[in-house]
Amino acid sequence: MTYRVRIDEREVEAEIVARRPQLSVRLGGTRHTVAASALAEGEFAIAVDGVPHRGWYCTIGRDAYVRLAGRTYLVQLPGRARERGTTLSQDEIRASMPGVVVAVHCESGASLSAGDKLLTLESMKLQLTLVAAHDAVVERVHVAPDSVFERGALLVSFVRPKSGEL
Amino acid sequence: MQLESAIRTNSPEFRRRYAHNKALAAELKRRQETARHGRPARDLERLASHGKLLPRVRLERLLDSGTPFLELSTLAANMAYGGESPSASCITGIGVVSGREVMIHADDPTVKGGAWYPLTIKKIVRALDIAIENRLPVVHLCDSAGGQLQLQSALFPDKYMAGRIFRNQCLLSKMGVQQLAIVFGHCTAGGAYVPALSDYNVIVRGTGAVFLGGPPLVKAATGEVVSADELGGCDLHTRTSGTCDYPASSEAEAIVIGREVVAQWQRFPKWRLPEQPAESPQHDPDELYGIIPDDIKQAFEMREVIARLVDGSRFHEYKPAYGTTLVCGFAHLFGYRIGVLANNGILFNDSAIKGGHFIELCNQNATPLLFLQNITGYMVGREYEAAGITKDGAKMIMAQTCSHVPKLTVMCHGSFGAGNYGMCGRAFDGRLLFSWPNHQIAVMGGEQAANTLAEVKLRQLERTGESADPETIERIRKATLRAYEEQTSAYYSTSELWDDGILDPIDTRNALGVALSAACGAPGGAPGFGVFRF
Amino acid sequence: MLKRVLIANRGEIACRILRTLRALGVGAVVVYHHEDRTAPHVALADEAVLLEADVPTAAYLDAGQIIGAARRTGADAIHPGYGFLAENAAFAQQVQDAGLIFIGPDPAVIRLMGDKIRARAFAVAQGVPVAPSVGADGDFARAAASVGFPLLIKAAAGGGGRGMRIVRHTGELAESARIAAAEAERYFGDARIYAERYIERPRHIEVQIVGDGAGEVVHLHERECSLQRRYQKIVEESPAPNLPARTRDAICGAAVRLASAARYRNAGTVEFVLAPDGGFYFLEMNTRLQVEHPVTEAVLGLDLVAEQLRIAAGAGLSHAQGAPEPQGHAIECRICAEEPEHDFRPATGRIGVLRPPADARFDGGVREGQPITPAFDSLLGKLIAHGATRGEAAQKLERALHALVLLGVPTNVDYLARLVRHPEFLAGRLHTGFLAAHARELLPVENPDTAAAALLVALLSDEGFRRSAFDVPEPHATIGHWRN
Repeated sequence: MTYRVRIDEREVEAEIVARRPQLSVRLGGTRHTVAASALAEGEFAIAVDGVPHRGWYCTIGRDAYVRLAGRTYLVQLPGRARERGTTLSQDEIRASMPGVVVAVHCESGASLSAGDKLLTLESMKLQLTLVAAHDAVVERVHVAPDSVFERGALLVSFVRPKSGEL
Repeated sequence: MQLESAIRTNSPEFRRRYAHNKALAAELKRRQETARHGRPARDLERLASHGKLLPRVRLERLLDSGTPFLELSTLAANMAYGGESPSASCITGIGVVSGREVMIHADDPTVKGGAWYPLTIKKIVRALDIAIENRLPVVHLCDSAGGQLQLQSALFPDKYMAGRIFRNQCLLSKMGVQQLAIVFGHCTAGGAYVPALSDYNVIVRGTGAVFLGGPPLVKAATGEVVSADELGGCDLHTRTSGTCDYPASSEAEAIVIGREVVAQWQRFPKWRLPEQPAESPQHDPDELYGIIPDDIKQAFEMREVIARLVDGSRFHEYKPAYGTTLVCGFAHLFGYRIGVLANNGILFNDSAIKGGHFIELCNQNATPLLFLQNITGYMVGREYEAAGITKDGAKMIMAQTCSHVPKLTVMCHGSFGAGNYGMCGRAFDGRLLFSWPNHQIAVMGGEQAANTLAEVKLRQLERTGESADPETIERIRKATLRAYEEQTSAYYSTSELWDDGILDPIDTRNALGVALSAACGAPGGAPGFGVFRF
Repeated sequence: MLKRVLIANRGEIACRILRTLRALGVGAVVVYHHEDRTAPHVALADEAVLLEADVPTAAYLDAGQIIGAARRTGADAIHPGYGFLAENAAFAQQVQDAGLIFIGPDPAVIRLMGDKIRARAFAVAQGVPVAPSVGADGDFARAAASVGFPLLIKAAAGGGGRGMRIVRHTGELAESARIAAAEAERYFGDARIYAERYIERPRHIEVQIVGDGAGEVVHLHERECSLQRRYQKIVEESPAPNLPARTRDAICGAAVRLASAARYRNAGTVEFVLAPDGGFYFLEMNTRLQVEHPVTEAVLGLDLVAEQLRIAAGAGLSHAQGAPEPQGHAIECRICAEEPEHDFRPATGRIGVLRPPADARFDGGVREGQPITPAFDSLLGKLIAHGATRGEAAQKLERALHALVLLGVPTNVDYLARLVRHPEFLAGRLHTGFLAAHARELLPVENPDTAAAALLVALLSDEGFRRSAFDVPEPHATIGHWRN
């Protein structure tokens, strides 16, 4: 059972290697022993490879923020993707940052060429216009003007091209 | 009391035995590797092209990392079907999933699509019997083409054949012991009942399918033309029919869901827990290779074996001065208290009744039993019959059979004749039974059988007035011996599932640890013994 | 004195104004949108009025609802904070028409300074130096070319860095003008643009002034706000380092001249661009309290919001020019919900843990449990440190940034700590291109040991991982990984 976590945009594989006499965890290619770990009410104390560390932490959804030695790390913990229906990543556009929809330039069923405008989004006074990466038929626009969305939210989905065997 | 060791590791005898047993262990490892991984590239490619993971990859992802997995009967069917069914086309074993001890049964689609041979069914039934006796939850990783049609008469109709799998599943469920099935491939006909009779199941979209009749059968029966996915795929069964509980869009996701399901399972209180922390033996288990003889007729000091299995090499011997050919005593294994019975020679009247009495003590003391076998039989002869050796042997068998505490057996060397019975052979419902590579089993030793048969033949000829020439007698002797040797080896035994697997002696402690923990999950029946013929 | 003030704003400035109202015993009313219901200013006020709007920011721009709320709650004055309606002349007028006091200057002055072209002309008339520029009437291209390259195209009705484009060659001019005008129309409802000479490596120096509305204006010294990213200030300080006294006096004098001529009332800031050759040019005047006002408060030991309330109540200025004397040095940095490693893209989350540092002033606008959404801007709070010298202030600020715990949303706290430690910053060699120029040196340094510890803490905070680590039976945990 491996955990795939992301830290600073790097993916790291974590695996519990042993539990006795101490908890031993492999992070990427290195093994670390963990002792005296106490996590309570936002504060933590832990000894990694014999070196003690103290600091603060909190978890918001699957994002774990850990602050120690004057540095804050953001670790993304694995979360199982919701099983609704399979959609391949190239058939949908998801928001790369949270924001508000300023304008919608396409509609369901529209047949677009690469480069055609899809949406204009605004985030904290920054505007961005999304365009089609390739020729595609819009299946559905999932947002409306003035709607607010989070990072990762589904914005537009395209009709999946008919493929061969499943 | 800590056992002392009297072996001399630099003696020629030790070194000779060491080399011999090391070689046997290497041979075992080689054969297991082949059984587990030796597959035609074509079959592996076909699996990969369907986006499927190898069964052992599925298994490793299912298990909690950093935990042991005790695989059972790796070499099942190794001497059957011309070697067509390595490991009997399936993997079974006891492991830890989401912090729970479970029995795992995984079909092996890399062997003839995972089709079930008669020994496959025997192996699966055995796994479920173990689950029932030890109250072990079960996880099934389903991916099988169904029964091997050509061998159907040996896998379908009888009491302990295919139907027994489904009967066992129902019983487990009735007992409140949970089952999960993850459908990775096709579950056809009877095989469809594995997920259907599991309390929870997961199905992989695209490759998983459950149907009583597959597309070819449907077409033949009604003319309907339908794809496997349309007939019994993920979406049909998770959205429409409700036969399957959790859809998964990939095998990886299915395993994650499976682990989450297991994490929901209530852990029921065990019958016994470890009494104290585990402690490695003081004496080096590696020396076992030098202790086990390289000749089946030779005896060896079992206390040396015990000293290399039990916690701290500490052993409280019971009745040490009496019945010295049977060593009895208490020890701990990974903190669990156990009662050990080990053969240091053949069984006499006194060793038989000492054994019976010790077994009663363990029943009184709620202590699981560990039998370390190296037995050629009970003592024979007029003097011993007059003293009641048959009666005394019967009493030991009665005590052992009626025990309500869990029993484990290791075939350390020979297991011949009636000695097998008293020492909890296969027929006596031990929770698990393992062999060492040097182990041999038969109603009597090969030499003895060959000599006996030759003797019988000689008398036959004498009655008819002929006399046999030494050559004929020798020929009979040699032929008997050859047949025997093939069928007495540990490999034959394990092929037929007369044991739950061959262990490298150095793995015995860990294997027994896992086995004992599983066994202590459930008590046996009600206490009580039948009539002891006094 | 004012009895009850309604704060028409949110976030840290609402909390900041609230603090002064409390200290002076003045009643405090706040308005808020539903999206802001967990914000601290809502709970801290005497009364909180819910505003209705589909888009959250629109609530704080709804003059009608805000004035209505002031009336209903018996407020006698409205403090607009900064941003939103603070520089909306029409709003200021409506407030006055409703019989309420607008804590700020006269609507006419707001209108004057809000129109960048008119403001520039006014500055010229007061002998305040301005950068060469032209308006966009007639042959814009030729006129712009006369200004000289590089030049900056700006929106007449704009501000805060919006709608500005740098043009370096004639070829780009027409297209940049077209885009700028369209943006100006979109953001400010006014497509007028003008072109101004662009100073390379400029410093942004601004002067805090307060006026009594009758022509009396006092300056409260200058601030340096050169550390900017895309025209948003990141770090501000007072006094400006390495500034010759003569230049300082000239700049402050020009600011006073300008504000006085406008008969400015209440607090305001005159912003200048300082060129490397010592020349300075009027940029714009902000007719409101600025985000970075705390550094002025720190070196002068006064409360600017209290000054605003005094002046609004008609009590006049409380200090003459020259008093109090500035003491020491103060530096402020803006804590924002953003990801510096991803081009400072705005971030969302929830405030999980907030522990302000002990040895610095923290003007926060959030509290634990509050969600941070894209509905509002990314400013979470400000950290201000004061020291006897600039070096001491910088050290204190760095320590405070290290000690500050604000978890639950990505922030620029670590980036700021690296910034105030940078040798060029400590040497005071500042200009508006500083952050871009030193971007590579401000990247975080890898520390594998703390990264490993952080990863392990994160994993241990996950219930599934904890169960996997500690909830495994014996003897399996002791045996560990083993296969037969």
